[in-house]
Amino acid sequence: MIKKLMKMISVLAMLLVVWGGLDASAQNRTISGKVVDAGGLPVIGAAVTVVGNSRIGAATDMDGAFTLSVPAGASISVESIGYKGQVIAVGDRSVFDIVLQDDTEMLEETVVIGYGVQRKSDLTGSVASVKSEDLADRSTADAAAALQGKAAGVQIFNDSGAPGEGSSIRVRGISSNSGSGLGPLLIVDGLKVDNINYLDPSMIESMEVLKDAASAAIYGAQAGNGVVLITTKNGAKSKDGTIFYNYKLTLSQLGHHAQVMNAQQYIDWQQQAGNQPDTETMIKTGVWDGVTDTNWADVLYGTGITHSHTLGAQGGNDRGSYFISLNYVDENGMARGDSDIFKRFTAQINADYKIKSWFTVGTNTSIERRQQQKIGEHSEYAGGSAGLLGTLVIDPLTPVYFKSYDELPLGMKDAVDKGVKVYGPADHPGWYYAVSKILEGDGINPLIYRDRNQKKEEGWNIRGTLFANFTPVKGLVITSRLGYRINQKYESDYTEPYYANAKSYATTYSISANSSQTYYYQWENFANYSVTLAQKHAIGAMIGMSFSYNDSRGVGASLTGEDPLKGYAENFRYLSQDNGSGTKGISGGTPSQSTQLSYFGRLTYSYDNRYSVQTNFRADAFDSSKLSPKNRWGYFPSVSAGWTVSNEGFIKDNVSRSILSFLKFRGSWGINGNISVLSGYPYSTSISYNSKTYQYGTDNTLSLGSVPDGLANPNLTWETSVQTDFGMDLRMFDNRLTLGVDWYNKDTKDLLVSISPVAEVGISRTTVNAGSVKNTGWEFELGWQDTIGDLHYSINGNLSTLKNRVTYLEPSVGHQTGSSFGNMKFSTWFEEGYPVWFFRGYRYAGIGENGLANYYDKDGNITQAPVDADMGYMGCALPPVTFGLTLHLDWKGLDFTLFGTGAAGHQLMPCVYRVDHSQINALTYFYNESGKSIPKIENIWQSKEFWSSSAVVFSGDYFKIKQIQLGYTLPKKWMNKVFIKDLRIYASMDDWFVITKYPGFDPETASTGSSTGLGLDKGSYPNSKKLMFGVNISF
Amino acid sequence: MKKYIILGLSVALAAFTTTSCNQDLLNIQQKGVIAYEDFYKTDADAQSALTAVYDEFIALINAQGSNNPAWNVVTNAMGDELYWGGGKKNGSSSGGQEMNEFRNTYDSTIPHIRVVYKGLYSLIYKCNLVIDNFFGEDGSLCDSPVKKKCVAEARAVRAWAHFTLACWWGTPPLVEHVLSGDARPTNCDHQVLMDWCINEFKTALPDLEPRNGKNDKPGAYRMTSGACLAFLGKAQVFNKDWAGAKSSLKQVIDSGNYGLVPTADLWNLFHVVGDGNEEKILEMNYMYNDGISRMAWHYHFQRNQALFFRNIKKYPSVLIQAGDGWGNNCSPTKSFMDAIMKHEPNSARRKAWFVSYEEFLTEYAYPLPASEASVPDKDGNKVKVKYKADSDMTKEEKLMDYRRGLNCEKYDETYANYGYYFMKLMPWQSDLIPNNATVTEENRIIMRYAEVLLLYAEACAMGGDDGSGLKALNEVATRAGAPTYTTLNMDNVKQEKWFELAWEGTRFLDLVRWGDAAQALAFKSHEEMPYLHDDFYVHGSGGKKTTGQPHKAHIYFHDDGWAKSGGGYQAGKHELLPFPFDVVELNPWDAEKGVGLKQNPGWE
Repeated sequence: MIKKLMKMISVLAMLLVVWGGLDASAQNRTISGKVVDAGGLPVIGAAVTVVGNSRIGAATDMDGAFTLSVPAGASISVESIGYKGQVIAVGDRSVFDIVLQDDTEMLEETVVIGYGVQRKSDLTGSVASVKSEDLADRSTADAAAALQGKAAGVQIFNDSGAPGEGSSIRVRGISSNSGSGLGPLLIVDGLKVDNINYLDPSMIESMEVLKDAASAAIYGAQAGNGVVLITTKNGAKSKDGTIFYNYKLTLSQLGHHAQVMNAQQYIDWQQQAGNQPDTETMIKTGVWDGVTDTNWADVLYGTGITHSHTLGAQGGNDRGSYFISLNYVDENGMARGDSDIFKRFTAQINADYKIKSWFTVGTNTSIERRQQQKIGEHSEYAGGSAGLLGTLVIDPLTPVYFKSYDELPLGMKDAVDKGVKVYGPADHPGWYYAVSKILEGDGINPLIYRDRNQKKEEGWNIRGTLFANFTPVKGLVITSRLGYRINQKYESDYTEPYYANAKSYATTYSISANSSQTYYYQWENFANYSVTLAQKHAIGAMIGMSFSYNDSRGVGASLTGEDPLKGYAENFRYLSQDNGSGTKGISGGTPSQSTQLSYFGRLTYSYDNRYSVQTNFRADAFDSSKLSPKNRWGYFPSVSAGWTVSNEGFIKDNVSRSILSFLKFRGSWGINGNISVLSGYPYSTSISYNSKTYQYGTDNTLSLGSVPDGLANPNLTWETSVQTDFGMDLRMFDNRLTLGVDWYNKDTKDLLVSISPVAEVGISRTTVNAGSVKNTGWEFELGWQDTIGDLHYSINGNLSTLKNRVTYLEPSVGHQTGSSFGNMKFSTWFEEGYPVWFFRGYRYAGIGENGLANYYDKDGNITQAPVDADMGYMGCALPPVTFGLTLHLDWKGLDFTLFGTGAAGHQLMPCVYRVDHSQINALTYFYNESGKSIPKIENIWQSKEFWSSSAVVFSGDYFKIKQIQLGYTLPKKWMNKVFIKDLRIYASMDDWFVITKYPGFDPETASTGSSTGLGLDKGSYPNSKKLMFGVNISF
Repeated sequence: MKKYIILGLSVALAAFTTTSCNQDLLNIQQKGVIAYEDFYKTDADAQSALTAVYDEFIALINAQGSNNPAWNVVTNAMGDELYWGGGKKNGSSSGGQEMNEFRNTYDSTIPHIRVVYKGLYSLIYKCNLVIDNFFGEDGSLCDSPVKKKCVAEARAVRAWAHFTLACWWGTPPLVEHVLSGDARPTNCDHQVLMDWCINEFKTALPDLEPRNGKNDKPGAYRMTSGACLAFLGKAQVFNKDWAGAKSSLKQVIDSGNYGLVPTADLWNLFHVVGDGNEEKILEMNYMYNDGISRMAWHYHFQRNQALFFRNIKKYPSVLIQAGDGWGNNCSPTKSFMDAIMKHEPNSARRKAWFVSYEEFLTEYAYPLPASEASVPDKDGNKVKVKYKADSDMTKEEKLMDYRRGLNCEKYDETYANYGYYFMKLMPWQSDLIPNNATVTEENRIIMRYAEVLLLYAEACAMGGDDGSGLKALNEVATRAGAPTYTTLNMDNVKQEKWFELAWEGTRFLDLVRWGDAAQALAFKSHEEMPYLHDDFYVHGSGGKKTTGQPHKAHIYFHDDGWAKSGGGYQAGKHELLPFPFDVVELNPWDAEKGVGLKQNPGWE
C-alpha cells in the first residue's frame, strides 16, 4: 500500500515538473518580458501562451521572466491564478513589461476546503460558509454558538446556558447511537482541535462547514459527522497597520423560563390531590405562614455581568502579515453570588512571512487560560446536584430564609445543636436558608447548593500550527505543517458536612483534586498544484499525508472523612493538609495514547468554467487502541460534479446577466467514517490480569486469577456513512438574489451495539457493528441584498429539514434504552423505525367519561389501565425543521441587525413533577389545564401512567430573536482628526424574545446533558436574555 | 529553477518516507492487561486460570437475585421444610415467596433463576478456558503435572455445573468448549447429559489430589478427588446406578479423610468456627480481605437476609442483631416441625437447629442487664416494672420479661411462622467480618460428609445392603442424638435426610426424584398460612396491652388468598425450572435448523 502510494506520488511529481516546464519552441520570432503584480513583485509561474495556439507557451520563472517564440501577428495571453488575465497583441515589440491586476472578485469568493482553498464558483460539494461579519459583536464567547442559525443543515445544541459552557454542533442530523462522537471534526487553521469553545468569535475570519460526503471525504474516517473548518483572522495588506480595541458589556437576566405554580395554585393543587388539609389548618399547623409566595427562580437568578475586552493589531505587506489579538472575558453568570463564573484569556498570534519569493513560513498560535465554576444541573435528586431543578420543585410556601432558630424544622435544629453546618446567608448571621417543611426530600433551597458548590476548573491550553509553504513553480505549493496542542487542566472540589434535610446532608468532608495534561501533534505534508491549460482546462491536484499523535494522562486524589484535615479555614482546604484520619483515594496515572496515519489526494478538473468534477480519496490507519492491526486501514473515496449552466453559450447569449447572474447544479457522492466511537481496544480480548481472586488457604492470603475480558471481535470497525447530495446555486438580478438548495441522503451503518451473546456462552456483553441510521433532508439558503440611495440592506434566511430514522438494529437487542426521569416509566429509546432517542411512553387519548385519563393501547383502542406493551412513540426532540433569519441594514453609518433562529416539529418533555414526590411543585400549565385538556388533579396526581404519557410531551417549536443590534460608526472625517480610523458603538439585545408555547424551561437547552437525553428538560442552566453595549475602535 | 524543484520534491519525499514506513507508531500497547496470545502458556498461567474458576464459583453461590442470594432461593425455596417469610405475603422477598408457594406468578422471569442459570454457564466458560487452553482436543497441551491437575479440577467443576443444570432444568445445553459470540446452543438430552457428567467426573478423578486427612482444611476449599467422588456418587444415585454409586461413595467413606463432627459440635457446622472441619467435602471459602474491598464475594451477607428475624425486640447474644425490618424470617414448616417433633423432640439436632419460640426466649443468653421497663397492663396503662439481669433470671421470669420476644407493637402477628425458628443457619456474631454489623464470612457448603453417608445409605437401600448402608444411616442419626434405625429402607433414609439436610439444597430434587413431590408439596396448595402471635399480649391490641400470661407462641392460620389465584404445585410442570425468559427469547427454538432452546414442559 505504502509503496504504491509513493509510486503514485513520484509519478505525479514528474507530471508536475513536465507541466511546470511546458515549453514549445519554434516559429518565427522570440519575445521576452517580465510579469509583475500591482505591487511590482514578480509573478512566478504565470502562463504566457499564444492566443489560438495554446501549445505555444511558457511559464514565468522565479523572477517573473519569460521568453517565447511566437508567430508574426500573434497575440499572447498572460494568465495566473489570482490575477485578471490579459491579452496583448505582440505587434513588433519584443520586450514586454506586463502588470497583472489582482482578481479581487475571485479572491473574495474563495472558500477553505480541506488542505486547500477553492473558488466558490468551482465548488461541487455542499459547503456552508459563514464569514466574520456574521460572527462579529455577538454576546456569546463561544464560536460554536455563533454558528447557530447561520448555516442550513447545521444544528446547534446547547445543553446548558451556564457561563463557559460550549455548544455542540450537529451537521445533518444525528447518525449514531453513541454517547460521544456525534459532532463534526473541528479544524482550526489546519489544526484538529477538541473544541472551539476557546475561540472568541471576534478572532474568526470564516467558518466553513463541509456538509456532504464529497467535501468532507478528504478527512476520511473522521468526517462522518461533517467537518467544520475555521480560519482565524490574518493581517490584510495595507500601507499601515491597524490597532484595534473592542469592549463589550453584557448584562444577563433570566430569559424564557418554566412557570411553576404560585402559592395559591400550589395549595389548590395539593388540596385537590388530598395532600394538604384546608388552608386554615395548614396555617394552624405551621405548614404555611399564610403569606409566603416564593418565586424560587427569582431567588436564585439575578443579573449577570460580563466584560469582554479585545485588544489587537494587524497589518501586512507584500511579504508578510500579522494578526495579534488578546481577548479577555470575565463572566459572572446570572445566578446570584459568585458560584457561576467563567474567565478566559485568549491570545491569538497569526503571522506569515515570505522569506524568499518561493518560500513562506507562518504560524497560527492560540494561548488560552480559563477558569470556570458552575452550579450543578441536569439532575432531579436532592442528593445529587439538583441545584437548578430546585428552583422548580420546591414549593412556593417555603420562605427563602428561616430568620431564627425557632423556625427551623427539627432536623435542622438538631444539626445546629450538634454544630453541624446549616447554610445561611453570609450577611445575616443567625438566618438560615429555608428548606421545605412539606417536602422532606428534593425540596432543597437552591441557595444551599449554590453555596456548597466549590467545584472549580482551570487550565491552560496552547494550540497552534507552524507551517512552511514552498512554491518551486507557479501553481505548485508544497506545504509542511506542524500542528500542536498542549492542554493542562486542574479541577478541585471541596465539600463539608452539612445538613439540609433527611435526604440532603453530608456527614463527611470530601476534598478532591484532579490534574490532567494532554499533548497532541500532527505533521502534515501536502502539495497543491493548479494550472489552467489553454484557458479552458483548469486542473487542480492535491496529494498529502498526515500523522498525528495524542497523549493524555492525569492523576487525581481524594480524601474523605469526618475530620480529615488539620484545619478547615480557607487556606487549609487542600489535600496536603490531611491529618491522616481520612480515607484516601487515587485515580488515573495510566497514560492514554493514540496515533493516526493518513494519505489523501484530490483531483479537480473544470472545463471552461462550465463543467467541474472533483474526486477525493483518503486512506486512514488508526492505532491499535481503536482497531485491530489487521483491520486498521480504511479507504474513503468520493466524487462530485458541477455544471454551471449560466456559463453555457445558450444561456449567456440569450439571458441577461442582470437577470440570471449565476446558476449551477451539483451532485456528490462519498463515504465517510466516524472513528470517534472507537476507543479503548474495543475489538480485542485481553487478559484482565490478576483481576480474579480465591483463597485456597486458611489465612486471608489471596490467590490471583486472570481471565479474558470479553469476546474478541477483530472485525470491529468504525461507523460508515454513505452520503449523496444534490444541490443548486442560483444568483439573479446582478447577484442581488442568491439561492442555494441542497438535498441529501446520508446512510450510516455499522453503529456499535453492545449485545448479549446467548447465556450459554458465559459472557454477558460484547460489542458488534449492528445498527444503521438514515438522515435525509433539504437545505435552503435564500438571500437578497440591495442598495437604495444610502441604504444598503440584506436579508438572509436559511431553512433545513431533517428526517432521521434508525433503519436497523441488531434484532437480538431490539432496542436500546437511554435516559429517563425519576422513576417515571417513560424513557428515550433507540429502536428501528423511529428517530434516534425518541420518547417512548403511554399515548394519552384525552379524558374518559369517568374523568380518568384515557390512553391508546398498542392496538389503538382506548384503555384506562395501559400496560408496558402499550407504550410507544410520543415524540422526538430532534427538530425536523430549523431555520434562521438575518436582516441587516446600513444607512449613513448606522447599522441594524436583526437575527433570529428557530426550530419546529419536535417535542420536549419538561421534567418537574414526580408521582413519587407528589408534594413537589408542578408547571402552572398543568394547574391551568386541570379538568380541561387533562383530567382533574385528583385523578392524575398519583398516576405514573399519566406523567409518563404524551400528555406531558409538548411541542418544542420556537422562534427566538437571538439578536437585535443597533450600531453607529462615527463619520471618518471626524475621526481622522483624532487619529482614529474607525469607531463604532452599538447596543444589542440578545436572546430577548422567545416565541414558543412550550411551558418548560428554555426550549433551546432542554436536555439532560447526555446525547440520549435530548429533550428531557431536567433543570439545565437556562439561556439568559442579554443586554449588551459595545464599542469597537481601531487606529 | 530545477534545483528548487528537486529540493522541494526531496523535502516532500523525505516527509513521506519518515512517517510512512514506520507503522509501528500505530501499535500502542494496552495498559493493565496482557494479550490473550501471551497468556495460557505456563504452569502459573494454568493456576491463574483455575483461580478464575473458583472466583466464578464463589460468585455464583453468593450472587444476588432480586433481594436474596439467587443460589439459596433456587435450591431451597421449593422444598417442604421452610416457609419463605418476609414482612408480608408480597414483601421484598418476591421470587423466593413465589417459588416457595408455587404461586401463579412463578414464571420464567424470576430473576433468581436467571442469575443461577447464567452463573452456571459463566462457570462452565471459565472451566472451558482452562480445558481448551491446557488440554486441547487431545491432551497435547497438558504437558506438566500442574496443568494436569488444573485441567482435572476444571473438568470436575464443569461436570458439577452441568450436573446441577441437568438436575434443575432437565435438558440444558452441553457446552464442552469456549463458544463464539454467535453460538446458538440447543437442548441436550437429559440422559446423555447425566452420562456425560458421570464420565467427566471419572476422567478427572485420576489427576485430582485427595484431601490430606481430616484436619486438612484447605482440602475442603477446592475440588479434591474426594469431592469429585462424592459428586460422582451423587450423580450415580440420581442416575439410579446403585452399584456405581456404592462403589464411588464407599471410596469417600473409606478414605479416612472425612468424618462427622461430634454431636456437641453440631452447632458449629455452619459457622466460621466449623470452616474446613472434617465433615466438609467441598465448600466455598469466604475470607474477608479488607485490602480488596471491591470483591464483595469474599464475604457474604445476603443469605443472612433470608434468615434474619423481623419483628424481634431483643436478640440472643450469640446472634447478629440485624436492623429492624431487615430480613425474611424464613422458618420451618408445619409438616416439617410436626414430623421432627414426633420423631426426635429432644434430639441434640432438633434442639440445636429447630427451636421453638419459648426455647428461643429462654435457652439463650440475652444482652439484658437489670433494668426498668414501662410495661402496658391489660388495659393499656403503662406500669413501671423492674427486671433482673438475664443471667439471674429463671425460665419463668424470662417468660414474663417484657423486654424480649416479639415486638407486637410493630406487627401483631408474624407472617409465615409456625412457632419455630431455623437456628441451623442463623448467622452468629462470631461470623461477622471486622467492623461490620451484618456481613459474615462463614463458608458455604456445596457437599458435606453427612450427605455422602445418606446417599450411600440410599444406594444400599435401593441396590442391596451388606449392612454398611444401615451403618451409614445410623452414623448420621447417632451423631444427631436421634433414635437409630433397625432397618434400612427408603422411608427411613428419606426421613433422616429430610431432618439432617433441611435447607441445604437437596430436598426438592430428592422429592422429585423419589416421585414424592406432588404429595409432599400438596400442603402448599393450602390456602392458609400460619401467623405467630405471642400470648403475652392481647391479640389485636398491637402490643399495647398485655395479658399477664407468659410468652407463648400462638399460631393463627389465615387465608392468604394466593391459592385461589391458581397457585400450588403442578405435577408435570414444577419438577423442572423454566429456562429463563430472556435466555429463550434470545435463542428461541428453531425446528427447521435444529438450533435454539426448547422451553421446559408447562413453561412455554
